[in-house]
Amino acid sequence: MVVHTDVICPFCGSLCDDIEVNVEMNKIVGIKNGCAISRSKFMNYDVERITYSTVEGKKVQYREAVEVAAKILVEAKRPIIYGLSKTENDAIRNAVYLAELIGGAIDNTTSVCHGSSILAMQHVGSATTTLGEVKNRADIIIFWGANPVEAHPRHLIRYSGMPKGMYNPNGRKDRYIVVVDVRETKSAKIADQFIRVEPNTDFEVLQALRAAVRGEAIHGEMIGGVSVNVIRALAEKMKGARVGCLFYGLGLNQSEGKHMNIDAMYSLVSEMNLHTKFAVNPMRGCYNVTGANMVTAWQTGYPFAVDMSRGYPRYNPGEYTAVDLLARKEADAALVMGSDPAATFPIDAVRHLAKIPVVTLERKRTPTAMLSKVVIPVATSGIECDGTAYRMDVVPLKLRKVVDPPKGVYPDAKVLEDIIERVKTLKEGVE
Amino acid sequence: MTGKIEVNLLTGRSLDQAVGLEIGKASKEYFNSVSCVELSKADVDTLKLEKDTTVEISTSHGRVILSWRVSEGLSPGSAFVAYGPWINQILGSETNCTGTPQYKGVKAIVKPANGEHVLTLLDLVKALKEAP
Repeated sequence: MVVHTDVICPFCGSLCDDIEVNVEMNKIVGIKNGCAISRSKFMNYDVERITYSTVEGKKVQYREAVEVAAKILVEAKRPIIYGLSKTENDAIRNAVYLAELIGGAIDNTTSVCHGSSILAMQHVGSATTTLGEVKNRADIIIFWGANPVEAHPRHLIRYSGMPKGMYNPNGRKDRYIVVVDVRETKSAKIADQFIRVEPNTDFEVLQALRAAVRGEAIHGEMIGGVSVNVIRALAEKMKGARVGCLFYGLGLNQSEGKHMNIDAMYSLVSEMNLHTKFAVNPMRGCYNVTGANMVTAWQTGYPFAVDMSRGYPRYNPGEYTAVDLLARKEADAALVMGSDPAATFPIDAVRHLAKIPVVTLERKRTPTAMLSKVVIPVATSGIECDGTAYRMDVVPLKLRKVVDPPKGVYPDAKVLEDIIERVKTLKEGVE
Repeated sequence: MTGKIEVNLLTGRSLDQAVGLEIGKASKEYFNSVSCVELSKADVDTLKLEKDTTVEISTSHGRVILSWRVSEGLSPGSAFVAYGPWINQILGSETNCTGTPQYKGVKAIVKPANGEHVLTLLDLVKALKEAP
Protein backbone atom coordinates (compact mmCIF):
# COMPACT_ATOMS: atom_id res chain seq x y z
CA MET A 1 0.00 0.00 0.00
CA VAL A 2 1.24 3.49 -0.87
CA VAL A 3 0.39 6.30 1.56
CA HIS A 4 0.20 9.78 0.03
CA THR A 5 0.39 12.56 2.61
CA ASP A 6 -0.46 16.26 2.36
CA VAL A 7 -2.85 15.65 -0.50
CA ILE A 8 -5.20 18.52 -1.35
CA CYS A 9 -8.91 17.81 -1.36
CA PRO A 10 -10.44 18.94 -4.66
CA PHE A 11 -13.99 19.60 -3.50
CA CYS A 12 -14.60 23.01 -1.91
CA GLY A 13 -12.74 26.31 -1.87
CA SER A 14 -11.04 25.49 1.43
CA LEU A 15 -8.62 23.17 -0.43
CA CYS A 16 -7.65 21.32 2.76
CA ASP A 17 -4.03 20.29 2.19
CA ASP A 18 -3.56 17.66 4.88
CA ILE A 19 -5.43 14.69 3.43
CA GLU A 20 -3.78 11.28 3.70
CA VAL A 21 -4.73 8.90 0.89
CA ASN A 22 -4.03 5.18 0.93
CA VAL A 23 -3.66 3.51 -2.47
CA GLU A 24 -3.46 -0.18 -3.31
CA MET A 25 -3.18 -1.52 -6.86
CA ASN A 26 -4.01 1.90 -8.32
CA LYS A 27 -7.19 2.17 -6.22
CA ILE A 28 -7.93 4.44 -3.27
CA VAL A 29 -8.69 2.23 -0.29
CA GLY A 30 -8.81 4.77 2.51
CA ILE A 31 -8.34 8.40 3.50
CA LYS A 32 -7.60 10.26 6.72
CA ASN A 33 -8.31 13.82 7.86
CA GLY A 34 -10.99 14.53 5.28
CA CYS A 35 -14.53 15.69 6.02
CA ALA A 36 -17.58 13.66 4.98
CA ILE A 37 -17.58 15.29 1.54
CA SER A 38 -13.86 14.74 1.05
CA ARG A 39 -14.25 11.11 2.03
CA SER A 40 -17.09 10.74 -0.49
CA LYS A 41 -15.02 12.39 -3.22
CA PHE A 42 -11.92 10.23 -2.76
CA MET A 43 -13.66 6.95 -1.96
CA ASN A 44 -16.22 7.22 -4.80
CA TYR A 45 -14.00 8.75 -7.47
CA ASP A 46 -14.44 5.64 -9.62
CA VAL A 47 -18.19 5.11 -9.00
CA GLU A 48 -20.53 5.89 -11.91
CA ARG A 49 -17.36 6.66 -13.88
CA ILE A 50 -17.49 7.43 -17.58
CA THR A 51 -14.66 5.46 -19.17
CA TYR A 52 -15.23 5.91 -22.90
CA SER A 53 -16.29 8.66 -25.30
CA THR A 54 -19.75 8.80 -26.83
CA VAL A 55 -21.41 10.61 -29.71
CA GLU A 56 -25.22 10.62 -29.65
CA GLY A 57 -24.99 8.05 -26.85
CA LYS A 58 -22.95 5.57 -28.91
CA LYS A 59 -19.46 4.49 -27.90
CA VAL A 60 -16.77 5.91 -30.19
CA GLN A 61 -13.02 6.17 -30.28
CA TYR A 62 -11.53 9.16 -28.45
CA ARG A 63 -10.24 10.71 -31.70
CA GLU A 64 -13.68 10.52 -33.29
CA ALA A 65 -15.26 12.28 -30.32
CA VAL A 66 -12.63 15.01 -30.51
CA GLU A 67 -13.32 15.42 -34.24
CA VAL A 68 -17.09 15.73 -33.76
CA ALA A 69 -16.56 18.15 -30.86
CA ALA A 70 -14.28 20.35 -32.95
CA LYS A 71 -16.77 20.41 -35.84
CA ILE A 72 -19.63 21.42 -33.54
CA LEU A 73 -17.62 24.31 -32.14
CA VAL A 74 -16.29 25.51 -35.51
CA GLU A 75 -19.70 25.37 -37.21
CA ALA A 76 -21.53 27.18 -34.40
CA LYS A 77 -22.30 30.88 -34.79
CA ARG A 78 -22.65 31.58 -31.05
CA PRO A 79 -20.80 28.89 -29.10
CA ILE A 80 -20.29 29.10 -25.38
CA ILE A 81 -17.72 27.45 -23.15
CA TYR A 82 -18.98 27.05 -19.61
CA GLY A 83 -17.92 25.58 -16.28
CA LEU A 84 -14.18 25.59 -15.52
CA SER A 85 -14.53 25.49 -11.74
CA LYS A 86 -13.89 21.81 -11.06
CA THR A 87 -10.72 21.53 -13.05
CA GLU A 88 -7.15 22.80 -12.78
CA ASN A 89 -5.62 25.98 -14.13
CA ASP A 90 -3.87 24.63 -17.25
CA ALA A 91 -7.22 23.33 -18.49
CA ILE A 92 -8.86 26.70 -17.84
CA ARG A 93 -6.10 28.43 -19.80
CA ASN A 94 -6.70 26.08 -22.73
CA ALA A 95 -10.45 26.70 -22.54
CA VAL A 96 -9.89 30.45 -22.81
CA TYR A 97 -7.66 29.91 -25.84
CA LEU A 98 -10.32 27.70 -27.43
CA ALA A 99 -12.96 30.39 -26.84
CA GLU A 100 -10.74 32.88 -28.63
CA LEU A 101 -10.22 30.49 -31.57
CA ILE A 102 -13.92 29.81 -32.06
CA GLY A 103 -15.05 33.37 -31.30
CA GLY A 104 -17.22 32.15 -28.46
CA ALA A 105 -18.33 33.34 -25.08
CA ILE A 106 -16.62 31.86 -22.03
CA ASP A 107 -18.15 31.86 -18.60
CA ASN A 108 -17.53 29.97 -15.39
CA THR A 109 -19.74 28.91 -12.49
CA THR A 110 -19.02 32.22 -10.78
CA SER A 111 -21.93 33.61 -12.75
CA VAL A 112 -24.40 31.52 -10.74
CA CYS A 113 -22.56 31.73 -7.41
CA HIS A 114 -20.25 34.63 -6.46
CA GLY A 115 -20.69 36.64 -9.67
CA SER A 116 -22.35 39.38 -7.68
CA SER A 117 -19.34 39.39 -5.35
CA ILE A 118 -17.11 40.24 -8.27
CA LEU A 119 -19.42 43.04 -9.40
CA ALA A 120 -19.26 44.50 -5.89
CA MET A 121 -15.48 44.01 -5.65
CA GLN A 122 -15.06 45.91 -8.90
CA HIS A 123 -17.29 48.70 -7.61
CA VAL A 124 -16.13 49.09 -4.00
CA GLY A 125 -12.81 47.28 -3.74
CA SER A 126 -12.13 44.61 -1.17
CA ALA A 127 -10.17 44.51 2.07
CA THR A 128 -9.17 40.88 1.99
CA THR A 129 -6.78 38.54 3.78
CA THR A 130 -5.54 34.97 3.75
CA LEU A 131 -6.95 32.14 5.81
CA GLY A 132 -3.59 31.85 7.59
CA GLU A 133 -3.90 35.43 8.83
CA VAL A 134 -7.46 34.68 9.96
CA LYS A 135 -6.25 31.67 11.91
CA ASN A 136 -3.44 33.59 13.59
CA ARG A 137 -5.03 36.98 14.22
CA ALA A 138 -8.81 37.25 13.89
CA ASP A 139 -10.76 37.34 17.16
CA ILE A 140 -14.16 38.14 15.63
CA ILE A 141 -15.47 35.96 12.84
CA ILE A 142 -18.80 36.65 11.17
CA PHE A 143 -20.43 34.23 8.75
CA TRP A 144 -23.18 36.00 6.80
CA GLY A 145 -25.44 33.94 4.55
CA ALA A 146 -22.95 31.09 4.77
CA ASN A 147 -23.19 27.65 6.33
CA PRO A 148 -19.61 26.37 6.57
CA VAL A 149 -20.48 23.35 8.70
CA GLU A 150 -22.26 21.85 5.68
CA ALA A 151 -20.64 23.57 2.70
CA HIS A 152 -17.01 23.92 3.89
CA PRO A 153 -16.93 21.45 6.78
CA ARG A 154 -13.30 21.96 7.88
CA HIS A 155 -13.13 25.74 7.43
CA LEU A 156 -13.97 26.28 11.10
CA ILE A 157 -11.62 23.50 12.18
CA ARG A 158 -8.59 24.59 10.15
CA TYR A 159 -8.90 28.36 9.82
CA SER A 160 -11.73 30.29 11.38
CA GLY A 161 -13.03 28.61 14.52
CA MET A 162 -11.05 26.04 16.41
CA PRO A 163 -7.33 26.22 15.58
CA LYS A 164 -4.76 27.74 17.89
CA GLY A 165 -2.99 30.64 16.19
CA MET A 166 -0.15 33.04 16.90
CA TYR A 167 -2.45 35.54 18.66
CA ASN A 168 -5.22 33.05 19.41
CA PRO A 169 -3.35 30.60 21.68
CA ASN A 170 -6.58 29.22 23.15
CA GLY A 171 -8.21 28.44 19.82
CA ARG A 172 -11.99 28.60 19.91
CA LYS A 173 -12.03 30.43 23.26
CA ASP A 174 -10.18 33.38 21.73
CA ARG A 175 -12.74 33.89 18.96
CA TYR A 176 -16.24 35.34 19.01
CA ILE A 177 -18.24 33.78 16.20
CA VAL A 178 -21.42 35.32 14.82
CA VAL A 179 -23.71 33.71 12.24
CA VAL A 180 -26.20 35.86 10.35
CA ASP A 181 -28.67 33.87 8.29
CA VAL A 182 -32.32 33.42 7.37
CA ARG A 183 -32.41 29.96 8.96
CA GLU A 184 -30.79 28.48 12.04
CA THR A 185 -28.23 26.31 10.30
CA LYS A 186 -25.81 23.83 11.82
CA SER A 187 -23.24 26.64 11.71
CA ALA A 188 -25.60 28.87 13.71
CA LYS A 189 -25.79 26.23 16.42
CA ILE A 190 -22.04 26.34 17.09
CA ALA A 191 -21.78 30.16 17.00
CA ASP A 192 -21.59 32.47 20.01
CA GLN A 193 -24.38 34.56 18.51
CA PHE A 194 -26.99 33.82 15.88
CA ILE A 195 -28.84 36.68 14.22
CA ARG A 196 -31.82 35.67 12.11
CA VAL A 197 -32.68 38.04 9.27
CA GLU A 198 -35.82 37.88 7.17
CA PRO A 199 -35.30 36.58 3.61
CA ASN A 200 -34.34 39.29 1.10
CA THR A 201 -33.52 41.91 3.75
CA ASP A 202 -29.72 41.55 4.01
CA PHE A 203 -29.22 44.89 2.25
CA GLU A 204 -31.32 46.74 4.81
CA VAL A 205 -29.62 45.04 7.76
CA LEU A 206 -26.15 45.71 6.36
CA GLN A 207 -26.96 49.36 5.74
CA ALA A 208 -28.30 49.67 9.29
CA LEU A 209 -25.09 48.08 10.57
CA ARG A 210 -23.07 50.61 8.55
CA ALA A 211 -25.10 53.40 10.11
CA ALA A 212 -24.50 51.96 13.58
CA VAL A 213 -20.74 51.73 12.93
CA ARG A 214 -20.77 55.39 11.90
CA GLY A 215 -22.80 56.32 14.98
CA GLU A 216 -25.73 57.58 12.92
CA ALA A 217 -29.41 57.44 13.83
CA ILE A 218 -31.38 54.35 12.77
CA HIS A 219 -35.11 54.92 12.39
CA GLY A 220 -37.40 52.12 13.54
CA GLU A 221 -36.99 49.38 16.12
CA MET A 222 -36.61 46.39 13.80
CA ILE A 223 -34.69 46.15 10.52
CA GLY A 224 -35.16 42.99 8.47
CA GLY A 225 -36.46 41.17 11.52
CA VAL A 226 -33.45 42.20 13.64
CA SER A 227 -33.72 44.50 16.66
CA VAL A 228 -31.85 47.78 16.22
CA ASN A 229 -30.33 47.16 19.66
CA VAL A 230 -28.82 43.91 18.36
CA ILE A 231 -27.46 45.74 15.32
CA ARG A 232 -25.92 48.46 17.51
CA ALA A 233 -24.38 45.88 19.85
CA LEU A 234 -22.88 44.00 16.89
CA ALA A 235 -21.40 47.23 15.55
CA GLU A 236 -19.72 47.92 18.92
CA LYS A 237 -18.48 44.33 19.12
CA MET A 238 -16.96 44.61 15.64
CA LYS A 239 -15.31 47.95 16.44
CA GLY A 240 -13.75 46.36 19.50
CA ALA A 241 -12.15 43.53 17.55
CA ARG A 242 -8.38 43.20 17.41
CA VAL A 243 -8.81 41.77 13.90
CA GLY A 244 -12.12 40.79 12.37
CA CYS A 245 -13.08 38.81 9.30
CA LEU A 246 -16.45 38.65 7.61
CA PHE A 247 -17.00 35.51 5.58
CA TYR A 248 -20.09 35.52 3.44
CA GLY A 249 -21.87 33.03 1.23
CA LEU A 250 -24.51 32.73 -1.43
CA GLY A 251 -27.22 33.93 0.93
CA LEU A 252 -26.20 37.38 -0.26
CA ASN A 253 -25.49 36.63 -3.94
CA GLN A 254 -28.58 34.63 -4.74
CA SER A 255 -31.33 36.57 -2.96
CA GLU A 256 -32.91 39.92 -3.82
CA GLY A 257 -30.39 42.71 -3.92
CA LYS A 258 -27.59 40.44 -5.22
CA HIS A 259 -24.52 42.62 -5.88
CA MET A 260 -26.00 45.51 -3.89
CA ASN A 261 -26.02 43.29 -0.78
CA ILE A 262 -22.32 42.67 -1.22
CA ASP A 263 -21.68 46.26 -2.17
CA ALA A 264 -23.08 47.17 1.25
CA MET A 265 -20.96 44.50 2.93
CA TYR A 266 -17.71 45.60 1.28
CA SER A 267 -18.54 49.23 2.15
CA LEU A 268 -19.15 48.16 5.76
CA VAL A 269 -15.76 46.44 5.93
CA SER A 270 -14.05 49.41 4.33
CA GLU A 271 -15.55 51.65 7.01
CA MET A 272 -14.64 49.17 9.75
CA ASN A 273 -10.99 49.76 8.89
CA LEU A 274 -11.34 53.28 10.27
CA HIS A 275 -11.72 51.59 13.67
CA THR A 276 -9.71 48.34 13.54
CA LYS A 277 -8.38 45.77 11.10
CA PHE A 278 -11.24 44.04 9.32
CA ALA A 279 -11.33 41.86 6.20
CA VAL A 280 -14.00 40.25 4.07
CA ASN A 281 -13.69 36.99 2.14
CA PRO A 282 -16.24 35.14 -0.01
CA MET A 283 -16.80 31.46 0.84
CA ARG A 284 -16.09 30.04 -2.62
CA GLY A 285 -17.84 26.75 -3.33
CA CYS A 286 -16.22 24.76 -6.15
CA TYR A 287 -12.60 24.00 -5.35
CA ASN A 288 -11.12 26.00 -8.23
CA VAL A 289 -13.78 28.57 -9.05
CA THR A 290 -11.29 31.15 -7.80
CA GLY A 291 -8.81 29.75 -10.32
CA ALA A 292 -11.42 30.06 -13.07
CA ASN A 293 -11.64 33.78 -12.22
CA MET A 294 -7.90 34.25 -11.94
CA VAL A 295 -6.92 32.43 -15.12
CA THR A 296 -9.71 33.98 -17.19
CA ALA A 297 -8.63 37.37 -15.89
CA TRP A 298 -4.95 36.73 -16.76
CA GLN A 299 -5.91 35.76 -20.28
CA THR A 300 -8.70 38.22 -21.07
CA GLY A 301 -8.64 40.92 -18.42
CA TYR A 302 -12.00 39.79 -17.04
CA PRO A 303 -12.90 37.10 -14.48
CA PHE A 304 -16.10 35.68 -16.04
CA ALA A 305 -18.82 36.53 -18.59
CA VAL A 306 -16.36 37.14 -21.44
CA ASP A 307 -17.31 37.28 -25.13
CA MET A 308 -14.70 36.73 -27.85
CA SER A 309 -17.03 37.01 -30.85
CA ARG A 310 -15.40 40.21 -32.08
CA GLY A 311 -11.92 38.74 -31.78
CA TYR A 312 -11.14 40.61 -28.58
CA PRO A 313 -12.53 40.11 -25.08
CA ARG A 314 -15.63 41.99 -23.93
CA TYR A 315 -17.14 41.69 -20.46
CA ASN A 316 -20.78 42.01 -19.55
CA PRO A 317 -22.46 39.96 -16.80
CA GLY A 318 -26.13 39.60 -17.67
CA GLU A 319 -25.31 39.46 -21.37
CA TYR A 320 -22.39 37.05 -21.80
CA THR A 321 -23.22 34.93 -18.76
CA ALA A 322 -24.28 31.36 -19.46
CA VAL A 323 -27.79 31.44 -17.98
CA ASP A 324 -28.61 34.57 -19.96
CA LEU A 325 -27.12 33.27 -23.24
CA LEU A 326 -29.16 30.08 -22.88
CA ALA A 327 -32.41 31.58 -21.58
CA ARG A 328 -32.37 34.08 -24.47
CA LYS A 329 -31.86 31.08 -26.81
CA GLU A 330 -28.78 32.82 -28.17
CA ALA A 331 -26.15 30.09 -27.75
CA ASP A 332 -26.22 27.52 -30.56
CA ALA A 333 -23.58 25.12 -29.19
CA ALA A 334 -21.81 24.59 -25.89
CA LEU A 335 -18.70 23.00 -24.47
CA VAL A 336 -19.16 22.18 -20.79
CA MET A 337 -16.34 21.18 -18.45
CA GLY A 338 -15.91 21.19 -14.68
CA SER A 339 -19.61 21.81 -14.12
CA ASP A 340 -23.09 20.39 -14.57
CA PRO A 341 -25.37 23.20 -15.76
CA ALA A 342 -28.31 20.87 -16.43
CA ALA A 343 -28.38 20.22 -12.68
CA THR A 344 -27.63 23.75 -11.54
CA PHE A 345 -29.39 26.15 -13.96
CA PRO A 346 -33.04 27.21 -13.86
CA ILE A 347 -35.33 25.27 -16.14
CA ASP A 348 -35.60 27.82 -19.00
CA ALA A 349 -31.85 27.79 -19.51
CA VAL A 350 -31.67 23.99 -19.27
CA ARG A 351 -34.45 23.57 -21.84
CA HIS A 352 -32.37 25.46 -24.39
CA LEU A 353 -29.22 23.55 -23.43
CA ALA A 354 -31.13 20.36 -24.23
CA LYS A 355 -31.85 21.62 -27.75
CA ILE A 356 -28.35 22.59 -28.88
CA PRO A 357 -25.33 20.36 -29.53
CA VAL A 358 -23.34 20.09 -26.31
CA VAL A 359 -19.84 18.72 -25.84
CA THR A 360 -19.23 17.67 -22.26
CA LEU A 361 -15.92 16.80 -20.65
CA GLU A 362 -16.98 14.86 -17.57
CA ARG A 363 -15.85 12.13 -15.19
CA LYS A 364 -19.26 10.85 -14.06
CA ARG A 365 -22.81 10.47 -15.37
CA THR A 366 -24.52 13.81 -14.91
CA PRO A 367 -27.71 15.36 -16.29
CA THR A 368 -25.57 17.51 -18.62
CA ALA A 369 -23.71 14.44 -19.89
CA MET A 370 -27.05 12.67 -20.44
CA LEU A 371 -28.21 15.59 -22.64
CA SER A 372 -24.95 15.98 -24.55
CA LYS A 373 -24.22 15.07 -28.14
CA VAL A 374 -20.57 14.39 -27.35
CA VAL A 375 -19.25 13.14 -24.02
CA ILE A 376 -15.53 12.75 -23.46
CA PRO A 377 -14.37 11.27 -20.14
CA VAL A 378 -11.65 13.17 -18.30
CA ALA A 379 -9.30 12.45 -15.42
CA THR A 380 -10.33 13.73 -12.00
CA SER A 381 -8.09 16.72 -11.23
CA GLY A 382 -6.41 16.34 -7.86
CA ILE A 383 -6.87 12.56 -7.84
CA GLU A 384 -6.02 11.20 -11.31
CA CYS A 385 -3.95 14.14 -12.55
CA ASP A 386 -2.08 17.03 -10.99
CA GLY A 387 -2.34 20.75 -11.62
CA THR A 388 -2.76 24.00 -9.74
CA ALA A 389 -5.86 25.37 -8.03
CA TYR A 390 -6.62 28.57 -6.13
CA ARG A 391 -7.95 28.40 -2.59
CA MET A 392 -10.85 30.74 -1.74
CA ASP A 393 -8.37 33.32 -0.41
CA VAL A 394 -6.54 33.35 -3.79
CA VAL A 395 -3.60 31.24 -2.58
CA PRO A 396 -2.48 28.85 -5.37
CA LEU A 397 -1.84 25.25 -4.29
CA LYS A 398 -0.48 22.26 -6.17
CA LEU A 399 -2.96 19.44 -6.68
CA ARG A 400 -1.59 15.91 -6.45
CA LYS A 401 -2.09 12.84 -8.59
CA VAL A 402 -2.55 9.71 -6.45
CA VAL A 403 -3.88 7.17 -8.96
CA ASP A 404 -3.79 6.75 -12.74
CA PRO A 405 -6.98 7.48 -14.69
CA PRO A 406 -8.64 4.64 -16.63
CA LYS A 407 -6.83 3.72 -19.83
CA GLY A 408 -7.63 6.18 -22.64
CA VAL A 409 -8.94 8.82 -20.21
CA TYR A 410 -6.96 12.07 -20.24
CA PRO A 411 -6.87 15.29 -18.19
CA ASP A 412 -9.12 18.18 -19.30
CA ALA A 413 -6.07 20.13 -20.46
CA LYS A 414 -4.98 17.36 -22.84
CA VAL A 415 -8.50 16.85 -24.26
CA LEU A 416 -8.76 20.58 -24.89
CA GLU A 417 -5.35 20.61 -26.59
CA ASP A 418 -6.57 17.91 -28.95
CA ILE A 419 -9.81 19.77 -29.68
CA ILE A 420 -7.83 22.99 -30.25
CA GLU A 421 -5.56 21.23 -32.73
CA ARG A 422 -8.56 19.98 -34.73
CA VAL A 423 -10.32 23.35 -34.53
CA LYS A 424 -7.25 25.04 -35.98
CA THR A 425 -7.11 22.55 -38.84
CA LEU A 426 -10.83 22.82 -39.58
CA LYS A 427 -10.74 26.60 -39.54
CA GLU A 428 -7.83 26.64 -41.96
CA GLY A 429 -9.69 24.17 -44.18
CA VAL A 430 -6.60 22.00 -44.35
CA GLU A 431 -6.64 18.28 -43.62
CA MET B 1 -60.13 20.12 1.48
CA THR B 2 -56.36 20.39 1.48
CA GLY B 3 -54.74 23.67 2.41
CA LYS B 4 -51.85 25.52 0.89
CA ILE B 5 -49.33 28.03 2.20
CA GLU B 6 -47.08 30.66 0.68
CA VAL B 7 -43.40 30.29 1.53
CA ASN B 8 -40.09 31.97 0.94
CA LEU B 9 -38.25 29.26 -0.95
CA LEU B 10 -34.54 28.94 -0.10
CA THR B 11 -32.17 26.67 -1.99
CA GLY B 12 -28.59 25.91 -1.03
CA ARG B 13 -25.81 23.46 -0.32
CA SER B 14 -26.36 20.67 2.19
CA LEU B 15 -23.84 18.17 3.49
CA ASP B 16 -25.90 15.23 2.23
CA GLN B 17 -26.22 16.81 -1.22
CA ALA B 18 -22.45 17.30 -1.47
CA VAL B 19 -21.73 13.76 -0.29
CA GLY B 20 -24.35 12.40 -2.70
CA LEU B 21 -23.12 14.25 -5.77
CA GLU B 22 -19.63 12.85 -5.24
CA ILE B 23 -21.10 9.36 -5.29
CA GLY B 24 -22.93 10.30 -8.46
CA LYS B 25 -25.89 12.31 -9.69
CA ALA B 26 -27.72 9.09 -10.51
CA SER B 27 -27.20 7.73 -7.00
CA LYS B 28 -29.91 7.13 -4.43
CA GLU B 29 -28.01 9.30 -1.95
CA TYR B 30 -28.08 12.29 -4.31
CA PHE B 31 -31.75 11.75 -5.15
CA ASN B 32 -32.72 11.62 -1.49
CA SER B 33 -30.77 14.77 -0.69
CA VAL B 34 -32.13 17.04 -3.43
CA SER B 35 -35.70 15.85 -3.97
CA CYS B 36 -36.90 16.71 -0.45
CA VAL B 37 -38.17 20.01 0.90
CA GLU B 38 -37.57 21.03 4.50
CA LEU B 39 -40.47 22.78 6.23
CA SER B 40 -41.06 24.14 9.73
CA LYS B 41 -43.12 22.02 12.11
CA ALA B 42 -45.78 24.74 12.20
CA ASP B 43 -46.16 24.70 8.41
CA VAL B 44 -46.35 20.90 8.34
CA ASP B 45 -49.15 21.09 10.90
CA THR B 46 -50.94 23.80 8.91
CA LEU B 47 -50.80 21.66 5.78
CA LYS B 48 -51.83 18.55 7.77
CA LEU B 49 -49.11 16.55 6.02
CA GLU B 50 -49.02 12.87 6.76
CA LYS B 51 -45.81 10.87 7.05
CA ASP B 52 -44.31 9.52 3.79
CA THR B 53 -46.44 11.72 1.58
CA THR B 54 -45.32 14.25 -1.02
CA VAL B 55 -45.93 17.96 -1.56
CA GLU B 56 -46.32 20.14 -4.63
CA ILE B 57 -44.28 23.33 -4.76
CA SER B 58 -45.19 25.84 -7.42
CA THR B 59 -43.99 29.22 -8.63
CA SER B 60 -44.84 31.23 -11.72
CA HIS B 61 -42.28 29.04 -13.55
CA GLY B 62 -43.84 25.66 -12.89
CA ARG B 63 -44.50 22.98 -10.33
CA VAL B 64 -42.52 20.10 -8.86
CA ILE B 65 -43.36 17.21 -6.55
CA LEU B 66 -41.01 16.58 -3.64
CA SER B 67 -40.90 14.56 -0.46
CA TRP B 68 -40.74 16.58 2.77
CA ARG B 69 -39.24 16.61 6.23
CA VAL B 70 -39.31 18.89 9.24
CA SER B 71 -36.40 21.23 9.92
CA GLU B 72 -36.07 22.83 13.33
CA GLY B 73 -33.95 25.64 11.93
CA LEU B 74 -36.64 27.09 9.69
CA SER B 75 -39.11 29.79 10.64
CA PRO B 76 -42.73 29.27 9.62
CA GLY B 77 -43.10 30.58 6.07
CA SER B 78 -39.65 29.47 4.90
CA ALA B 79 -38.85 26.28 2.97
CA PHE B 80 -35.43 24.87 2.09
CA VAL B 81 -34.45 22.54 -0.76
CA ALA B 82 -30.86 21.54 -1.54
CA TYR B 83 -29.53 22.70 -4.93
CA GLY B 84 -30.36 20.30 -7.73
CA PRO B 85 -32.34 19.65 -10.89
CA TRP B 86 -35.60 19.05 -9.01
CA ILE B 87 -36.04 22.48 -7.47
CA ASN B 88 -34.56 24.15 -10.56
CA GLN B 89 -37.73 23.02 -12.38
CA ILE B 90 -39.52 25.95 -10.78
CA LEU B 91 -36.84 28.65 -10.61
CA GLY B 92 -36.69 31.51 -13.08
CA SER B 93 -33.72 32.46 -15.23
CA GLU B 94 -33.98 36.25 -14.83
CA THR B 95 -30.63 37.56 -13.63
CA ASN B 96 -31.28 41.32 -13.42
CA CYS B 97 -28.14 41.94 -15.48
CA THR B 98 -25.90 40.15 -12.98
CA GLY B 99 -25.75 36.68 -14.53
CA THR B 100 -27.07 35.15 -11.31
CA PRO B 101 -30.64 33.81 -11.08
CA GLN B 102 -32.52 34.18 -7.81
CA TYR B 103 -32.07 30.87 -6.02
CA LYS B 104 -33.11 32.15 -2.59
CA GLY B 105 -36.05 34.08 -1.23
CA VAL B 106 -38.41 33.03 -4.03
CA LYS B 107 -42.17 33.20 -3.40
CA ALA B 108 -43.69 29.75 -3.78
CA ILE B 109 -46.85 27.86 -2.88
CA VAL B 110 -46.67 24.55 -1.02
CA LYS B 111 -49.58 22.12 -0.80
CA PRO B 112 -50.11 18.37 -0.38
CA ALA B 113 -49.52 16.50 -3.63
CA ASN B 114 -52.38 14.03 -3.17
CA GLY B 115 -50.41 10.91 -4.00
CA GLU B 116 -48.27 12.21 -6.86
CA HIS B 117 -44.78 10.72 -6.93
CA VAL B 118 -41.39 12.40 -7.11
CA LEU B 119 -39.93 12.10 -10.62
CA THR B 120 -36.62 10.31 -11.05
CA LEU B 121 -33.54 11.90 -12.61
CA LEU B 122 -34.13 9.87 -15.76
CA ASP B 123 -37.72 11.20 -15.87
CA LEU B 124 -36.42 14.76 -15.72
CA VAL B 125 -33.82 14.17 -18.43
CA LYS B 126 -36.36 12.38 -20.64
CA ALA B 127 -38.78 15.30 -20.33
CA LEU B 128 -36.04 17.69 -21.41
CA LYS B 129 -35.11 15.55 -24.40
CA GLU B 130 -38.72 15.21 -25.51
CA ALA B 131 -39.71 18.83 -24.94
CA PRO B 132 -40.99 20.50 -28.15
